[in-house]
Amino acid sequence: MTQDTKYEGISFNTDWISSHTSVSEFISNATHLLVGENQELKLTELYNIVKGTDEKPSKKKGNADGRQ
Amino acid sequence: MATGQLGLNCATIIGNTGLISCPYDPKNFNGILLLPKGTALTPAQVSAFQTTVNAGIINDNASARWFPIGIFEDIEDKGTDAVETETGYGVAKLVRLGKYRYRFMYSNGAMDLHAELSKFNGRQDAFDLWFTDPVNNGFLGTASGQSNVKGFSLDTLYAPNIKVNTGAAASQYMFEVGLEDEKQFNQNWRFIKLPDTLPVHDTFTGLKPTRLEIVSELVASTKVVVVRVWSGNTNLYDTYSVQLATTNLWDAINNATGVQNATASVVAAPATKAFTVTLTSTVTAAEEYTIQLGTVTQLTAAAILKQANAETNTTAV
Repeated sequence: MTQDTKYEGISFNTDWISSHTSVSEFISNATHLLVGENQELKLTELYNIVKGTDEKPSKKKGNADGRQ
Repeated sequence: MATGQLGLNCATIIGNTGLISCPYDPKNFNGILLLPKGTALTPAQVSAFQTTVNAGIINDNASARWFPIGIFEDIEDKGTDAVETETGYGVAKLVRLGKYRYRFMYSNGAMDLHAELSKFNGRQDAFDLWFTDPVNNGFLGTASGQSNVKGFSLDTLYAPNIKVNTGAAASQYMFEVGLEDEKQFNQNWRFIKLPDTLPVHDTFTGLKPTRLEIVSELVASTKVVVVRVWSGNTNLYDTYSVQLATTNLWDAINNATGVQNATASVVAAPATKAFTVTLTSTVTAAEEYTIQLGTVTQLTAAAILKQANAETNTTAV
């Protein structure tokens, strides 16, 4: 079992996040997490921390939180 | 090989009566160790006794777990006398020996330990028993075959009702055990001696009970359940708020399907001294879930030592 990933004081299941193949897939499965302002930005950052990448959601253009 | 029609080999039924230089003389038993019925220890396991016992105590499988109980402060011998019969000519004949039976008294642990020990009531067929002898510093059990050892077989095991504080005497807590076969004690006893650096009364301690309290039921839309973790009257948040905020310690099982709904995140909530657990997969209202904490191995790995695993139920709203 991989150690949890700490983000904004919350322990996240690293293995579950890693099981996603793209940030878009992760965001679609994690809509109930980090609910609030800049949710998509935060989920993207969390995903990239776990994956060690700098991936951005593929379905939208502009900023990661959806703003143009 | 059969020894004849009578079937007894009387030549071997003898007792050698010379006195040895260092006989075992039981002192006050101040505890017991309950093992799953039939658990025999090999010479190798006895050689590594501390490791063997500790592994048994923290076994993830509760039905295979070992339970050290104590510290006892008093004993009432409730054993029965031998039964004799007298012939018409006045000759006394032994019919059978009496039974070994003891009632132990304790105060440490009080009602909390009493509640846990009451769970053993009537389960004498599920456990064997070793006595803890702190003066000789070891465990008293019995032989199992030529080279293995085991605990005594039981015919009585229960926690009697407590005697409440009278104003003149403190509350009294008790645990009663009866041995099934006095021959195991009289003839086939075995004593496992430990080094004095491993005192039996505090080297082997049982797991502390853990209880989960649902603070708010699982919410289908957010997949969130809020749980407190208790050990007796102690909220474990006070000691383990960081350690318990770990996703692999928490599990949610759908009671209808038996399917695990993995934990996505956990966060400690200081205001309620509870843990907010968020699941990964879809939850539907009215579904019943079992929320689990542990295994013991996982708790130990998270530096939550000697704490039992626990589970409770929640119905999604």
